[in-house]
Amino acid sequence: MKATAYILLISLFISSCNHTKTEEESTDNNLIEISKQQFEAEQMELGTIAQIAFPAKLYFSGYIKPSTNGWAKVGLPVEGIVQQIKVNVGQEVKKGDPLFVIGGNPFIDLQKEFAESSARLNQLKVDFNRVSLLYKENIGTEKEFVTAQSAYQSELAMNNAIKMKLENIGLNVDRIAKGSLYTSYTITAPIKGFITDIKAVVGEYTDQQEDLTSIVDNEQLRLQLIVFEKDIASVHKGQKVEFHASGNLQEIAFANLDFVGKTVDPDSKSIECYASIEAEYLNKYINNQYVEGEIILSSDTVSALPVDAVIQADDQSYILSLEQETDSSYLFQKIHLQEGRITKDYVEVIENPNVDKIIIKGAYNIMVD
Amino acid sequence: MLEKIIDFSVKNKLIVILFTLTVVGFGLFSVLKIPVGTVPDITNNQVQIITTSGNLSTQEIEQFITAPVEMEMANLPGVEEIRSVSKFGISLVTVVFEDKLGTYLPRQLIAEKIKVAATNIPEAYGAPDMGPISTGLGEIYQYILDVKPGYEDRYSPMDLRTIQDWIVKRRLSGINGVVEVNSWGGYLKQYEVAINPSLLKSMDLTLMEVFNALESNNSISGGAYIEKTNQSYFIRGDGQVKSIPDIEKIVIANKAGHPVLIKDVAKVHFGYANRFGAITANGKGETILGQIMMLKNADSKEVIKAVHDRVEEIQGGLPEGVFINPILERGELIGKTSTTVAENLILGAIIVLFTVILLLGNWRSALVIASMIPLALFFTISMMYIFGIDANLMSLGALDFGIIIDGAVIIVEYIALKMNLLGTNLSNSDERQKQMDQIANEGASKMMKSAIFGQIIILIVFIPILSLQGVEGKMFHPMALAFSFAIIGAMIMGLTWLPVASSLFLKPVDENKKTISKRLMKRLHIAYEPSILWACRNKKIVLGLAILSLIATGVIFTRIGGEFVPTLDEGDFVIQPVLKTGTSLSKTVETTTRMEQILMKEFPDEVDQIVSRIGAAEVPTDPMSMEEVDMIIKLNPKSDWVAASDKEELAEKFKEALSIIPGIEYEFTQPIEMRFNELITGVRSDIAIKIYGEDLDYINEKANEIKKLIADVPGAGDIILEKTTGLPQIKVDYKRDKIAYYGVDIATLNAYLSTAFGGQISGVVFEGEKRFDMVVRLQDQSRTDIADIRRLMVPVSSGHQIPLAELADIEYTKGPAKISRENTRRRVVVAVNVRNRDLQSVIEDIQILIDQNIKLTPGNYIEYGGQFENLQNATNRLMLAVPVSLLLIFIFLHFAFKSLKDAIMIFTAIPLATVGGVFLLWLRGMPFSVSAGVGFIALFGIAVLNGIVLIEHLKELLHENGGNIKNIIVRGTKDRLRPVLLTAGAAAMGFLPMAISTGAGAEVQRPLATVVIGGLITSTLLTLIALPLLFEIFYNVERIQFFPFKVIRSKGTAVLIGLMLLSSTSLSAQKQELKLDQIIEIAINNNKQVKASELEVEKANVMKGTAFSPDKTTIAYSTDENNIAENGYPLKVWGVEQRIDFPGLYVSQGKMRRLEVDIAETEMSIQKSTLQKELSLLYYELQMLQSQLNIYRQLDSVLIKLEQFNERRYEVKDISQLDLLNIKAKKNRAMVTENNLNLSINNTLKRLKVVMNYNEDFTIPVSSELVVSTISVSDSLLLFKWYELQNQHAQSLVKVEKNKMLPDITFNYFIGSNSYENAQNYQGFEVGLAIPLFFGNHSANIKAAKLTEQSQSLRFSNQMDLIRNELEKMNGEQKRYATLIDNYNQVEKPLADEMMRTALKAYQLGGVSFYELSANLEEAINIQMNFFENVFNYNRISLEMKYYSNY
Repeated sequence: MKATAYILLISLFISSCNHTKTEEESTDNNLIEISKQQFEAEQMELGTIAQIAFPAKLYFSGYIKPSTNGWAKVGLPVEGIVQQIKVNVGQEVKKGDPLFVIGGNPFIDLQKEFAESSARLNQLKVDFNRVSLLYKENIGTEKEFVTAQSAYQSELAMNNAIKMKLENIGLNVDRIAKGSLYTSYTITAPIKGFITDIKAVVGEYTDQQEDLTSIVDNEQLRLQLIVFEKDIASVHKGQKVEFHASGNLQEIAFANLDFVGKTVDPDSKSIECYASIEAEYLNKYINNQYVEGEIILSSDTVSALPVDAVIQADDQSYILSLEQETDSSYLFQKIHLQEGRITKDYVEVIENPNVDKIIIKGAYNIMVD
Repeated sequence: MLEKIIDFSVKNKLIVILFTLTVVGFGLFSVLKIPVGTVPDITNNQVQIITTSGNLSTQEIEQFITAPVEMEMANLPGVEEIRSVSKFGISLVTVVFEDKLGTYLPRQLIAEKIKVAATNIPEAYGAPDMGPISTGLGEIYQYILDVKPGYEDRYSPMDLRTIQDWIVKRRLSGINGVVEVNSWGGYLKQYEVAINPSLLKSMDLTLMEVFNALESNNSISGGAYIEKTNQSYFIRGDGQVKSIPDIEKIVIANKAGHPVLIKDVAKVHFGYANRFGAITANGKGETILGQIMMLKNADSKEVIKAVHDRVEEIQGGLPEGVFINPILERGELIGKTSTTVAENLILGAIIVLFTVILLLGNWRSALVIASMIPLALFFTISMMYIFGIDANLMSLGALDFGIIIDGAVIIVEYIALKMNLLGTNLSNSDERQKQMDQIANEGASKMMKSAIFGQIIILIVFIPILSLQGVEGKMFHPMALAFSFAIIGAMIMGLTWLPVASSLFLKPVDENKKTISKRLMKRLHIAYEPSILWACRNKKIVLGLAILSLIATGVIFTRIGGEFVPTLDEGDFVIQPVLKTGTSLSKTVETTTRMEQILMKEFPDEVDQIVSRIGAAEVPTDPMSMEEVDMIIKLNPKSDWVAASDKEELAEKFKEALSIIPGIEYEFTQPIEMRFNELITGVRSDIAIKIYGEDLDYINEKANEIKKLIADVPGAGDIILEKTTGLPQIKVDYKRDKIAYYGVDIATLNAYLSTAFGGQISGVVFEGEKRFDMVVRLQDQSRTDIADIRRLMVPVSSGHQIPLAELADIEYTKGPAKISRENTRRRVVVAVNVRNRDLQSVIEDIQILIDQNIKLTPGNYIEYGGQFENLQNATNRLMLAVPVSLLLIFIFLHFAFKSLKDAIMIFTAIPLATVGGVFLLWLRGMPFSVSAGVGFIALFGIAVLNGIVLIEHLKELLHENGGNIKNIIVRGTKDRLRPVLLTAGAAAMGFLPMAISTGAGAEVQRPLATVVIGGLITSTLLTLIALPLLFEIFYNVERIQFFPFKVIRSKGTAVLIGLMLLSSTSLSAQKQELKLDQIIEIAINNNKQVKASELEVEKANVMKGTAFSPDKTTIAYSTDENNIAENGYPLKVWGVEQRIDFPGLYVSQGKMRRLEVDIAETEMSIQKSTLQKELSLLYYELQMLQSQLNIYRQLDSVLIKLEQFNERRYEVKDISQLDLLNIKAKKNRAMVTENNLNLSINNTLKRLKVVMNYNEDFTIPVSSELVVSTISVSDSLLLFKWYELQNQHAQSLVKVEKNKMLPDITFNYFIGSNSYENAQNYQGFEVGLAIPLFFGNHSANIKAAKLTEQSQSLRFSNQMDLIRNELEKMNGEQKRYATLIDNYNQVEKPLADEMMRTALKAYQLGGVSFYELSANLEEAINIQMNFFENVFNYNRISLEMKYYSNY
């Protein structure tokens, strides 16, 4: 019993002495170790800071519109009834191609008026000559002379006016003056292009205000951009524009900004700008098409990294730069990164740290704090 | 009493047997019925209030939801704690109630309050709801919907979710005891209208138009019915969409006759609701998890069985290839722990039986003793059933049959001994039985006392355990109760069954028969005898050693450290990988899948299944973020393991294997443990360092410091900083000016934002019974980048659509990821899990480090929580309860022995018992825990019991024989060696299986058993060696006292931070404002004239004394030779003479004087009134002036504005310079008037001050009050009174003069005597009248007085008339002014105001010229000025009238 007690006591003290802890100190020189195994498993990649064009872009939406001389509306010089329509919607026409044949009373009345006027003019001319002679000889009164002169000149003006109208339609005025009238006339295309719509209906009486059709010259299409007030300062003539049809991100077309609007539209609070579409894309767009895209405001080449290379920790950004490579692992130094602009894929590096290789992929999970 | 019961039992054996059978029967019934679980449910009485609000971010959740809910709940009765977590989209408030409130009352209370809280939460932000009535043990069954090999491609996570929601969940609902079936993961199917924003824009449509179109093209209607002949036909309009093409064909708008359909701008397809959680399993990617939650207090065994049956049913009805794969089944753990418990109990019983046989050497006795085991067990289970205690590890698992049978052992041993003495020589069986009965009776009665004492002491020691509260209480109450029931059972059985059984079954045995037991005992005796003899000789050494060992124990105890409760090995792992805040769900899913694959591949023998729970479930009882993961690993039985031998090692291996994924930390825990920790303290770690404060950034920074600081503390395994910040956000910061410019409103913008990116439910689509939401949102590819938000098109008032970036700054920011609050304060937690070291020492180290290095600004403070909290609570309570129960034991011992000495002696067993307990704990490397503490408590009881047995016997011997104590000791100890060894051995052996068991849940019992076994070894040594020595000392030597020495560790550093309360007193430097009555009071006190009048009154009062003015008294002495006395000598005469006027004069003079007093008083009153009038006049004048000044000020400000306005106009040449000059002149004039008014005010104020005789500055209230005055010309007027008095005075003067004409009266008294012989006194008296004979001057006086009187009265009546006239005049005036004022109030004021307003307006609008304006203004001003003058005049007259009439 006694012996047991002693043994117990002794063992008690011995073991209590052994009860100290061994502590291991991890060597921490701020390097982050990633084993090759981990490197493989996480599909990491090494890369460098690259020089990448960093465009500043401005989003816009807009429409394809014809340029001022690339769009024509066709109306009647003289009211009348559409007798014949010679084109279809979407049809390509050359300048001067016949479009409509117009007939009707007003047109005939006009011819009649011209014929009458021509006749009267002759008479007045003679009369005027006579009176002027008398006047020169101090025989006639001045009043007479003035009356005759004004009658003649006004008739002459009217005659010329009608004559021009008729010539405009493309008729032979001499023939009309002789009393031989036309029953109809043909309207021709003022520009080349495509017929966009036809409002005319055969047999319909049409006056001068109404459009019969419009023609758009696809070769003269341009891009109308809607830019908002706040952005107007950064938009300049000559900037390049990327755009695409709505929903079609694949086919991107380019244009050059050549007109920046100077008025804010009070309704939409926006400014219209125009850009000329580069020739090769012209045939892909049609009039009034809705498009969206970006104006490339500036484009500079800066040092940049893929977004995946940047690790966020404590509201700071870091990159991992390869310091050392051993047989089994890589040792990385964490480096604080001054971030600049960020696009979808790239991050601008403001102060280019002097690093060689950095992890550019698979770094998301690595804790750096 | 005890004897009687025993006697009755022995005599009525049948009744006792029947009673015993009843106990057995009920016990068996209870065994079948009693709820079986694993561990006690330690969840506190809490209710969770969950609010989900899909699109709100953390701050808004806290602000709009959590805070109002908390506010409402804070005032509920019985609330112990409120804590909350606010996260993106989820608010979870946990309200902890006192246990006594029960389960349903708190829910009722909360249900009432929730309604109020809901009204404080904006409608669209979601409604708070209570969490399921469940507890930490509630997650009884979790399954994943698994797909059989070969069918993998057939079911997508969305299909599985649909199966879960519409088949499995529905079938699982309605099981009795199931409170919730929670779905987790998968994709909640929706009919998604994915809009292409650019198509929408090109059609010139808006999102809302699409939304409205969808909403208004999906409805159903009925048209009642029509009757046709005999039949009714019910009308049903079915406009519900039923399929994707249906939706596609909905028209949004009609553009130039062309319908624009949904399909023109959007793609309709099956989408899914925004996800906040996911499940991956077994490295096979996403799946669905179902959680079946059990109702609080339900019988888990029953519920699990019902769930199992139901699952079996459902399995058949699932689509081909899909099956329910249970992941966590509580049943398994219950099975395992039940096995452990049963194993412990059975093994314990067998070992006890074996020990008893071995030491007793008599199988009959052993069996009789052993029969107590099942009986006590049945009794215990019956009681547990009755009292509603679950059978689990902590209750049944802690029973030690050794302790239970201790009493029985003592009794049976004694009876057996007696019987053996009796011998086998009795032939007659009847007689023999009688003998037996008697022995049994005697033996039982005699020994029962010690046994019962011992048992009651064991019962007492459980009192401290019952006093534990909170978690530790819930944990150990069942154990204490079960143990107590067992002991009570043993006591009852010991009184009834045991004597009966003894008398029936025990037989005398042959003393000389050699048995193993005999030999064993002989050996023991041989070993023991020299020891005790040696000990007797070397008392000092023995006792010294005992004390030394005690000290050593103390030292060891401080080194073994402590933990709360040893962790129950649940057989499964939960790994919580810590991913970066804000990690996307898909990245988390990808990561967990990889982890699962790694673990499945590397540990095929250990890992059975892995399920990762990511983020939040549909009912987010645990609101995890999308990067938070509970990876539940179901392990194979340990026997199959290859890679590791225990869980610690396996955890390390797991960590190693997972380290292939860099940068992720892992926390290891177990499912139930995790849930408990989380529910009880809200923090799932061993130690939680909580930093409280208002500023999230600040406390977060401090938490970071602490994290770095304690990183090197040994044993602090995983240090994890609660992630509260760094949630990446895209902030849409609206620009108000732009919004105003475009004419939109924020509600619309927000609606567009949330619809476009979050999605908006526009209706439902039914697929048979299943209903799915129809949701509008942008197509996937338009929801990927910040640019997509920037270019979100919103309509503005002009009808155009513009990008959102025009209206808001949209930038990346970081926001709080989670805001935790406790008792309505924000907090951040640094969680520490302890590895390879005990909790207590780690927390101490941490506390020291933090106290030394971390300084917090006032208002922020640190608290410690986690498991440590519970340990501290338990320690504190035990620190109180253990001494109390020790005291109780002591008192009880004292009662039992009726001797302080004996009590102390036996008490020494307690400290020495701790020696073995602590030593064995230390030897086995176990820290001190509450479990071990309970072991110590039990140990004390047993140790004391042994002492009692021995000391009783020794005392008896001493009593019987007396003589040498040493001999008695040797003999007594020898006699008692067997019972002492028996009780101690049986108890120790009973715990042996528990101490060495490795079954599931054994870790909880192991420290307890270890302590008891170790303690019993030393306490037996003590009982056998040290105690007899003490006995000798105590009974030989007087006056030696032992103080039981015990080291009680106390730790607990409370961090107290005094709150500095800065109070600032605001200094008021304003001038005092005096009201009229205050002014009057001051003036009356200060005014000199009033003072003078007061003096006059005093003088008049004094003068009253002059009314009675008799002449001077003449005292005369004369001697006259003529005047000879009888003795012949001249007399010397003394005399007193007094002349008085006729008494009437005095009367009239008195009257006059009184009148004079009255006059003085009246004059003073008049003086005061005059003063009052004067003051009031000045006061009202001031008011008038001030009011007028105000008008001018207003006018001024108007004119200044006009001037500025016109200067501008002049600049643009809108007006001529003349106009401008005019305005300037006008303004100037107004200013001058204003200045004049100011001067007047100052003057008046000065005058007022002079009158008041008051030097301090003051102001008066600016308003125009009217003086109320009524006129009544009566004689009571002061002035009249004065005249009257004057009149009377004149009359009284006449009277006085008249009285003066009356004769004066003289009295003369004289006494004469001389100094000669026979001198006598000669007295004389003389009365005389003095008649004024020459009264010329008197009558003149009278006449004059009369004339005065007449003139007075004439003047008086004249004055009266004048006043009357005056008053009438004034009355007229007053009426006039009153009319004017009335007129002003009713007509002129509105007129003037309107005039002014309209004139100004008209002028501003150019309707009138400046001249007209100025004329109008002047007129308006004049009206107002006049009004104030009128008011003043009115007041003046009223005052005048008052002055005349009412003074």
